[in-house]
Amino acid sequence: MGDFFRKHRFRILICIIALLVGIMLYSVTQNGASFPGSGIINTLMNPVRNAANSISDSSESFLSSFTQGSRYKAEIEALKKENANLKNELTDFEETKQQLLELQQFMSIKEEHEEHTYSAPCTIIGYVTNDPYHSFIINKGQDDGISLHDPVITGEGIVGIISSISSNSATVETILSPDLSIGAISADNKYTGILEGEIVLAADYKCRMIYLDRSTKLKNGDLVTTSSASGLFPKGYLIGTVESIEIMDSGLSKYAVIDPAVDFEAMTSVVAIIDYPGKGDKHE
Amino acid sequence: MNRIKTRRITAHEKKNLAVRWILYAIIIIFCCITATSGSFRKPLLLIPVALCIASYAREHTALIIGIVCGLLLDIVCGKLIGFNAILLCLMCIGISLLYKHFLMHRLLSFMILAAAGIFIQGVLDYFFFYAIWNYSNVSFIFTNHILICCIYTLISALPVYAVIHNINRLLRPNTVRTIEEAVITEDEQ
Repeated sequence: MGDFFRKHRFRILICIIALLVGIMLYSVTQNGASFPGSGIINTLMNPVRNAANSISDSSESFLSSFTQGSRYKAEIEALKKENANLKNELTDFEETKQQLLELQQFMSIKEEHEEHTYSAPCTIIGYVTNDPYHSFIINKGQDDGISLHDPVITGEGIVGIISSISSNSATVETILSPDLSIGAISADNKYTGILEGEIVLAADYKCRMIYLDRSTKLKNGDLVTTSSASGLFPKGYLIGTVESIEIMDSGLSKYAVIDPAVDFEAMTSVVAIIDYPGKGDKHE
Repeated sequence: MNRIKTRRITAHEKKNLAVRWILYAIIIIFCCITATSGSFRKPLLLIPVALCIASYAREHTALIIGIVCGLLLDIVCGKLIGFNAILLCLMCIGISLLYKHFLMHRLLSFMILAAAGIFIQGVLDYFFFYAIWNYSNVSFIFTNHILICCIYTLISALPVYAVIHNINRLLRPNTVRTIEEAVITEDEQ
């Protein structure tokens, strides 16, 4: 084995490792822009990812009927009654209704925020492998007008921001990540705080609103929306509902556990807000 | 163990070699695609695949396999490009050298080396991407996420070994078999 370390191959190995370290340093300096090679790989893999993800979604829903049998059994009984009432209706009625609902939600958001510009609906084509904060990849990128740090929403509420982008795909970092801090305000505009992810809460698809005053009257079930404090998100988008109020470890302030309005597990498409008044004013 | 060459590689063996590398490529692509499908936790198949291919390859081939699988792992996991590439490159060369000089191809030896490799990758991933950033409850990530992923990956190393071992058994040219393997093959016959 000692021969290996004396041969020129070992020097080549050292050079290659130095090159890889250089690539790492280059990636760090790109501040979110994808490494050129990864952009090409993403482009090549997008159609296959799309197909694989569809298969995976179908398999997941099929397998869940076995793994969560007892819970579904009760639901099935209830659905049987509902099904009897619906059997004379068109078979694709529910699907069409759902699509219409999603579009209506998008439309209502667009009407509420006329000054904001939205991207075309983006389909989720894959997930960042084993990411504890459930980041995912969408099928739209710079070519579709999306840029780094653009906010991402669904008709239900906010999802996260674009954390990495290439020409035709982008990675979305969710609000469950502790790396993301967004200004938040209660729906009655009385209490402000910062929304950020927390490792333990992220496992249950929840996040928290920190820096609440100890005298806060925020209570379970209250709605929380975005404020424009961080500059990352425009004001007035629904984040979720307050699930509980806890005291911070420091004891100086409180935090609210937030149940996001968005169902991260069931989400299939999102929209990016590509332009809004005040965009980038206070980017960190 | 020095490898012996008794004759030139025939056209049939060249075809087998090409088929073997096509199969490796298909396995690597499959691992990449499955890695990004679904938001559930899954094994990092690229690690055992790289280590297993490296165990049958010479150092320079192992180096390339390590870099390719590592870069792909960086892309699918959203990690800093080059992090896993350096790790897998070093691990693959180490495994290639160990198998060349000291070890024979046995499931147990591969599983021990794979377990070590997977655990080292998990610990370094935890340290560089979570622990040093001082998140609250950061140990939760290690116990409830990294360790589980490591266990899944280690379990997945069994079928990976079975597939790659059989590819090599069927398609690897006889000219690069070690003396021990040749003796065993003779005994079996």
